[in-house]
Amino acid sequence: MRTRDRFRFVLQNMKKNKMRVSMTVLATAMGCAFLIVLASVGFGLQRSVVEEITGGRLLTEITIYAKQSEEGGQPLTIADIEYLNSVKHVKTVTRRQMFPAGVFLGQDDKQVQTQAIGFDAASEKKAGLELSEGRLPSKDNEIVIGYDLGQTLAGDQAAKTLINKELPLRIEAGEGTEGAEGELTEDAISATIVGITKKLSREWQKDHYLYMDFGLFTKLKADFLDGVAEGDKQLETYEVSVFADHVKYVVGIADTIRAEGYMNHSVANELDKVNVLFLIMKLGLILVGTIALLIASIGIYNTMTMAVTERSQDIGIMKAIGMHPKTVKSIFLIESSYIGLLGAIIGTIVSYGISGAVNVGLPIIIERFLKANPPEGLMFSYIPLGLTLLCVGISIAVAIMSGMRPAVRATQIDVLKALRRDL
Amino acid sequence: MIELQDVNHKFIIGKKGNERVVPVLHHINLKVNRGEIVSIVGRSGSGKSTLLNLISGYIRPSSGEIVVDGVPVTKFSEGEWADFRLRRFGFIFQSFQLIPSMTAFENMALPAVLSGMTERDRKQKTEAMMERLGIADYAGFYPGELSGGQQQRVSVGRALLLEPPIILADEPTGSLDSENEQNLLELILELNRESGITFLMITHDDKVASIGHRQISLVDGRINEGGVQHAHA
Repeated sequence: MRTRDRFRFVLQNMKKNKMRVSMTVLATAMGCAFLIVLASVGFGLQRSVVEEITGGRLLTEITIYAKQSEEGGQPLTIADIEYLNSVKHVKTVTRRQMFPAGVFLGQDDKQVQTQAIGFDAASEKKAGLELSEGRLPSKDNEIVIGYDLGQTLAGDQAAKTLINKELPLRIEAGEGTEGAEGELTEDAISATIVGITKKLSREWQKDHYLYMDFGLFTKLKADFLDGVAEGDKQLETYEVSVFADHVKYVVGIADTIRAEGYMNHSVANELDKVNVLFLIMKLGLILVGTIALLIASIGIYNTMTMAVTERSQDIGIMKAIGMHPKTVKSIFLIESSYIGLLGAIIGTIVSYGISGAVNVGLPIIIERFLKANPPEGLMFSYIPLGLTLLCVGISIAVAIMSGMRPAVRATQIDVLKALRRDL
Repeated sequence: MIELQDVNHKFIIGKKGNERVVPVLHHINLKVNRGEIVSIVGRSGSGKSTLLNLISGYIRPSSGEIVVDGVPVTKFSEGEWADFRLRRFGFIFQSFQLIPSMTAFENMALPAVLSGMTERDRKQKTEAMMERLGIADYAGFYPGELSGGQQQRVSVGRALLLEPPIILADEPTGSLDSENEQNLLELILELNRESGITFLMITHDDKVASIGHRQISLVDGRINEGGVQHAHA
């Protein structure tokens, strides 16, 4: 019997008992929707927590604090940076250093005091530093400003008007500089703003920094800060990050460099523990949700048993003519899996609706009735494609299992009893 | 073509622990040749239907061997029987055994559907068969809307659709009036003459039995040797 004929036969039979089949599909849809919505809470909370942990940081990033030696933690040196760059699967190593004096950008009443950070533009580009406007410095005297510094400088105007604008940059006088402490150095360099960083993901974090390439950073130090020795072996006030080629190498790289004494921390490592906890939670929720589907499976079993009983004589006649037992079995299994599939499709659509409604409605309810503010960006329910596929798969599998026994029973229909109308 | 070698059959009846063995057929040796019409006659309970059910594969003999077209079928699995039945046998039942929810056309086309024939081919074949049997106008009718004679024609069409070499008929005229009975018997003779189809018929109607080349009489589960008549001898 051709597959197309089997489906046609199944559909004809289902049409004969529309109400019963509809009720069974409804029960399956409810079970499937319950399973998806329940598990989606686990996925939603995990997503919110993970976003809270990463806070826009890259999962491939490993932050290095210091190098452990017999004398204790030692600051890193340029040689350490070179070593880190040589580790297998390391994409790049970024280094940021705080300028050892305050800087002033702009002039007269639009002069803003800030902190300058030196970085290697090429490494930052490789590490994936994203800007909201412009580009990274490529020439002398080019700078990038922090998003919030841009807002302050631009005032009423749009921050992007600052791009390619030349502004005087002065160093605050202090120990080792000319002039009295707290005053500005007389000479200024003219800095060109070529880029503005992206707004930081957390509301309470502000980026008021000024970023410059190490070329300008070193020049300023040499020109204005006499007392500070050039070419220090040990890095001053720094932030060093190693970026892996792929998130799967992060743990391996972290272990390798830790063995070499580099104290480090990675979000991926932290996330691993959180993810394990959420995995257990999600499995628990899926298990509870599956119980709802198992209850629906009783309905499918009942429907299929009724279908076999009602069609015993027809099946008996067809077996008497030459219908293969495998064909008999497949027809009933197609019917039960069809019920499972229909239920799963309807259940999935409904669960997406419920999930959307929960994400929109629950914060409003919490605010209005509980007088509390849910954390910004908190997602109560999230349905990834994998969850949908898993739940649809479980629904169909449960439906097939429910139809298995009635299908086997159909293959055992006694031809002679059917022909005698004894069934 | 069909050969039964020392076939015995007994039924076990009653509840477990209190079973009773009822012998139905005893040492049946029978040979039906290609192109023959063989009528099996006998009283009720003589074992006629059991004999036909054994040849059809609906039940298995307690002992003995059944060979069809040189193939020993006694140890066939359910699946093997299904395929064999579909290709080698056509069945005509006393009560037609049509599926009530299917139209005359769908009922007749059933063996073609089961055999996996394409929709186009089976449509062509079924239409031709309906035409041949004179029921083309009733293609869309359900069995309940047809007369006994028309239903039997649908049943005959279904049996002949895949052109099987053997037709097994269980009281084929049992539910027909005399006119329809005569028509069916003429059709059987025509099919035998033109297509060489072998017919094995069970009947207790002498008129029906008389169209057979041979009549085999069953008495209490045994072939009555004296009862074998050769119509064309």
